[in-house]
Amino acid sequence: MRQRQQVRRLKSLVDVNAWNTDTCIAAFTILLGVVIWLLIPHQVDQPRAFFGQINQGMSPSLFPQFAAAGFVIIGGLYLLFSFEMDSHNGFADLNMQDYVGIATVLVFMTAYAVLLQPLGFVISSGLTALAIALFYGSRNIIGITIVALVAPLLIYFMFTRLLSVSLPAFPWVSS
Amino acid sequence: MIDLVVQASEMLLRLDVILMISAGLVLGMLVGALPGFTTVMAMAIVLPISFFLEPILGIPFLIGVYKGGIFGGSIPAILVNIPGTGASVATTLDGPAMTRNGQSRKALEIALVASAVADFLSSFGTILIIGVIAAIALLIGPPEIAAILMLSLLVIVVSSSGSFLKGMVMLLIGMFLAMIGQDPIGAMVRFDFGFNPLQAGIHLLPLIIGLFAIPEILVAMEKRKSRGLENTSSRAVGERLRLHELKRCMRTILRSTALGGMIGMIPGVGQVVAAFMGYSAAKNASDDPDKFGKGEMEGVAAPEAANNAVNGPTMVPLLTLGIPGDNITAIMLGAFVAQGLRPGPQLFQEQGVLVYSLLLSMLIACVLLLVIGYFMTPLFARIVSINRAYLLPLMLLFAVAGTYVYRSNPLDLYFMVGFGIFGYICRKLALDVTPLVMGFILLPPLEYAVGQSTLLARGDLIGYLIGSRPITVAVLILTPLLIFWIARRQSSATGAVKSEANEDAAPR
Repeated sequence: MRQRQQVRRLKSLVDVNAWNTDTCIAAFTILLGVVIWLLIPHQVDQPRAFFGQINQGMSPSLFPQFAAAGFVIIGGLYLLFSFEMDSHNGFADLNMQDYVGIATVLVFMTAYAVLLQPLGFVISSGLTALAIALFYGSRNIIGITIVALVAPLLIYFMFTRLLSVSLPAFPWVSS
Repeated sequence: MIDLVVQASEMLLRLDVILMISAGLVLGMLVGALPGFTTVMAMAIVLPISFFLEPILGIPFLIGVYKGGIFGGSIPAILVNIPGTGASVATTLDGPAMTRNGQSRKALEIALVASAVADFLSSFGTILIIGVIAAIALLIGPPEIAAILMLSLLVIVVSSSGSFLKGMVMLLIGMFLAMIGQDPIGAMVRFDFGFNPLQAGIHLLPLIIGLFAIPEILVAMEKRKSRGLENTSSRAVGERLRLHELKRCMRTILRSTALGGMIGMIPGVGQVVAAFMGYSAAKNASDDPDKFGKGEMEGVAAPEAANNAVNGPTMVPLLTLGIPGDNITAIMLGAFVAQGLRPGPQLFQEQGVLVYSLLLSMLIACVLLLVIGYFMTPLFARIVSINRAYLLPLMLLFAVAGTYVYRSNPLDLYFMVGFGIFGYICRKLALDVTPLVMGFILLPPLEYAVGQSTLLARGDLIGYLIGSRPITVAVLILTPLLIFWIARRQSSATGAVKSEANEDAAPR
């Protein structure tokens, strides 16, 4: 019985149609492990040896090696068991409009991160808040004014005056 | 210990401390009352605020957010049958039925009293035992710490939602992310890919805010066409809670407190399981179990007491061993570290008065929860239906400001967005990010403890452990057995919870 199950799992490995979301994640996990393993000699500095001896008890490569091996072993097991898993893919429930909504907000967020220093916190936050509120469907002028004007100013003054930390000021104020 | 408590009380009795706890409670209740927004998200967003306050203000503020958020989740669970947080899912079994029976005010009040009483008692118990546990923890060295950290990581993986293998993958990702930067022993550069800013490593703040706050915004955006709660009438109506009704529920509250308190001390199990176990225990002990699911007051008191009783004891593994048991305590750990306080047994020796003052602030938070909750729950009940078009930008503004101010490094913002996208993908693919966060936080102390153990062993680690470290060997041998036992308990508890939920949902 167990042998038959193992044969079925191995057959599923080569049958791409039998692959589900978990199978893809498992394959990616193995690949990640292999890539990390190959990167270790180039991406982990080694401590200097004094008189032929390393003065720290453990190599800085040890844990990365454990992690890489762990990715491959766990990924392999995950791959084998993935064919029998009740796979869940939340993206299947989304339609094009949902994707457009998410992509738009991600563009807003990225633009916000890029513009924070050149425009300052209050202006970049106001523009982002305005864009999100309008995109979400609000047309209430009072609500929009609160989130796009009052809130950025309050947050700016809370951090810079009450907590005494710095946020990028207005573009006309040199930092 | 009594001296410490007296000094801690003197340190704590300040108006600004009371105000910060109150602010935290109000904020926590506000976020908890909003369906879809979690306590973890609220704590992630306000975490940076705590960095710039003195510890006696910043950490009690977070404690307030934590306690307020767990209670706040019960408000929409009772009024509109949508749990504000995961911890209040079990409250939907009887809460909405009480609302349909015209008893929503009573349901909210019993939820508040049960939450505050259970939280107070479990926090008090925590204060009594935590010193003893810290004293025992002082006797252990690097090999034992390494073994306990490995055990904790595996417990967290096995307790996470989804399969063990998925949890392990997420744990390894978190551990790998923590390796970027410098190794904790010799400060050797690892995985900087020739990009100098990466040599400082990835900071916890963009990781936490990205994983917990940004996915909420993205999920809300994808559902923007079906935001059905707006304009819903949600008000507390009906009679107030009577003293004889509260007395009738006290046995249930005490039972749930004991259950929740025990669950809180185990890393990774959390409020959801506690709430369902509390509910099941109350139903089993009831003379008339058929009333449960049809608007029974004890059916609200039991899960609310159990989920809030978890709050205090989660501090035990955090403060004595530096091991966070869940996402919320992981955020608390971030707050401690940013304040220059490294949780662990030494903290009790070095900063005993401060530790006890923070623990005592949990008791003050419980009393304030009762007072603030009593007066403000009707207001929060109206917030259930607030327009998200204004909340989402506010969340993003706080997330960006909080992420940026800590290091004034725009790179952190890109990390925040990147982790946000990753967290959203994980949510869609049912991958729990808790093991990732724990792996990220616990890898440096684990690697440091293993490094120190290797130095102590002088080349013969196995011989050293067997010959000189019997506790480490015992923990290492017990680890697979304990993991197997927890996995078995977890699967049977999950089965029981599912059948409980199905059984009680069916007649409605």
